[in-house]
Amino acid sequence: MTALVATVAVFMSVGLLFVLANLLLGKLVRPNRPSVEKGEIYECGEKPVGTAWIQFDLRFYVVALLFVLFDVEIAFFFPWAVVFGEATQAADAGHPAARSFAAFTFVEFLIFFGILLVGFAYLWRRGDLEWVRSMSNERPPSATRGG
Amino acid sequence: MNLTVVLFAMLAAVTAASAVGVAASRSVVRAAVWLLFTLIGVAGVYFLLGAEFLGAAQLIVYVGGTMVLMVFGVMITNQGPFAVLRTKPVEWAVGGVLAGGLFVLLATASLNFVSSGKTPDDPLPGISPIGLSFLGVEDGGKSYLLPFEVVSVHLLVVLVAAAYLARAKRRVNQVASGKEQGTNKEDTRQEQGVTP
Repeated sequence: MTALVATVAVFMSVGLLFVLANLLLGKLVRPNRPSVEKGEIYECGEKPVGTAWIQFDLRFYVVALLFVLFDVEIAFFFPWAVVFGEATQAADAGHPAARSFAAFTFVEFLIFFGILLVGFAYLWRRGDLEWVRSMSNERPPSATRGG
Repeated sequence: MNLTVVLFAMLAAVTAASAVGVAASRSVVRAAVWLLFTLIGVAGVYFLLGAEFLGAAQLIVYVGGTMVLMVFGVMITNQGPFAVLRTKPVEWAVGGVLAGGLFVLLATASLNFVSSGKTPDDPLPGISPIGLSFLGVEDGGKSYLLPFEVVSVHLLVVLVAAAYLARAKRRVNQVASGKEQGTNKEDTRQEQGVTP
């Protein structure tokens, strides 16, 4: 694994060097004429309304949490998938015991995943995954303009 | 000084410097970005140790998943562009003492390790031993089938509890408007979904 880490380290340092060298070159070559217009947020001239620092809806967090939980499962599903794949391969090569072992691991996997699906069903049933439609459709058109 | 030691020194320096950055930065967003580099450095150490599955899982779960959660947390809680974390001197002192104690503990523990005689370039066992022990095949007297299934119950508990807590907070915020709109739960939920 040393070779892998060394490769990644070389790749990252070359990438960093490339970015820094180009930025330095640009700083040396370009003229420096700042103006108020250049400092605006949108180059097309659109005036920003309000601030970008608003509080986001809390249900983003629930969805992100759901994502992380199913993300964690890779640590358990991936080793299972490797074992299952090897067992199936061995069964195809003509080992009858491997076929029953593959079926056994599949049942174990179904139990594991079934328990997790209970939580998923709970969230679904309670409506945490339903994305509530925006209220802007219900406002009169004059209110939505400018927002 | 072989290549492994040099690479470990680089990774350790990056990880430790980013960890100091997490503690020292005043902005929550910057602390989150520093934490990103810390977690990537830890994943690099795992790769260097030859634990390629652990390193990949670290990258996917922590760097990819937990960081998303933290950034969402920052987006949800942060109320201003310059939300600054002020650390009191007492907190620096307590944190410094705790960190120093932990460092001494970890340093003593790792200096007392007996080397297994394996080098990072030895052939790797691969992922199948992990999977086989998860699935209850006793190889060397250890079977983790029950913990494997208990983990799913644990994840289920975490999922339900987190969803419950998030919903409870939302309801507290919206009690006033919920009463005006009627006590129907569906109505309240609809009102809360207004994007800001």
